[in-house]
Amino acid sequence: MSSGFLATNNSGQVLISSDTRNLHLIEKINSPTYYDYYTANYGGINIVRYRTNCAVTPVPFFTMPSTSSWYGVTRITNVSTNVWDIELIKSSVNNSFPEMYVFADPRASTATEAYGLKVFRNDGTASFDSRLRPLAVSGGLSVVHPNNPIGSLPYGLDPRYCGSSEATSGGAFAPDQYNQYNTYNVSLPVKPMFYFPSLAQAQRESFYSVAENECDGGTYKGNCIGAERDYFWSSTYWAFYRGAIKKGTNQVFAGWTAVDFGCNWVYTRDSALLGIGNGSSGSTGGTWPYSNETLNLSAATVIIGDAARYD
Amino acid sequence: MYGMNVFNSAGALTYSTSDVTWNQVDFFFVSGGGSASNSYPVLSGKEVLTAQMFINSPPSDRRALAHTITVSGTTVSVSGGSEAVYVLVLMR
Repeated sequence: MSSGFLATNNSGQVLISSDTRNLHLIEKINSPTYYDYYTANYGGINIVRYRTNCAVTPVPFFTMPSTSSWYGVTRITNVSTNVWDIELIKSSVNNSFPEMYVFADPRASTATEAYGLKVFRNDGTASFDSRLRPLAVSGGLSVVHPNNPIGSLPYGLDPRYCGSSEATSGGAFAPDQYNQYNTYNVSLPVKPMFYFPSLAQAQRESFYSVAENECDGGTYKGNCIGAERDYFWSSTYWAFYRGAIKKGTNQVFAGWTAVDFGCNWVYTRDSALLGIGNGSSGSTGGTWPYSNETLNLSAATVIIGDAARYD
Repeated sequence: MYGMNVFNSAGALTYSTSDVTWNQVDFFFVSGGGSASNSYPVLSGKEVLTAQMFINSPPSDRRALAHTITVSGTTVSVSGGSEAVYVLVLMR
């Protein structure tokens, strides 16, 4: 940089540069604007959205009000001019939701205070404005989610017509696997806020089947003499998960939160007379899982800040 | 001992050279199936952090691949994803 402004800290890291843009607080949103989905099953699924007005792409940080819940920002969508929806997922059944701190570069906000320091880029737009509460971070880390959201596949679900209740299948598919990251070198502030875009996805399915035979006559050497019918039922239960994080005292955990679930069933009936097939019928229903796999497991970025600084 | 403190009119410290931050270099859109390769000379010799955010919820009825982001020198390259994302490039 031959001209302009540059401030660095003792570590030589850039704090303010007229070549870049600092992030500044645009808005603090105390609770979700929309509650899109909730169930107490599958570990608890909460899908909510926070709506914000921002002239540029927002960078959302969220608090974690509970150490027993998992959280993640799953998408940012520009719904209309300068209007953005920030979608957040949360596990568990408690109804305490994160506060959302929306940051963006200084073009997205206008200061009203007269005092402060403002740095401009060479195009005349703001790079830094102390009046707009610039972002300072406490630390950051890179996390990887475990390959499998659940330690063992569920058993004992009803193979007939997806007959197990949502509570039963949800209990069997509740995610329980995570990786732990100690933050001894990334001290968590009293009220930490996290930037964590969720990319990891996983789907797990479990197949159950049962067969029955009806014989109207007697049997000879195990074979039906007369009319018989073979029945077959199967059900494939599945759950879809997204990567999430949870905070501890001095840890950050990378785990999973269920976001969708379903079940597909198949029924067939084959008829025979004296061992000769004379007809079959069947039906199917429910929703079919796409793929029993885990995607996007590369290291995910977590940036930590002190939310109390922006209250 | 050396540095700079910036205060507001009420005398409260708003920013200081004892702080740590990540500065935004760019925030750009990459479509599903698309790619991008951008050069930022300001990244030279700096610590770089990238992140991507889905724009739409990944559906459960098809594979929804995130993009692969690589940083080589001062060039940030994005490709290989099936979903539209915003890519955030930070430095310090």
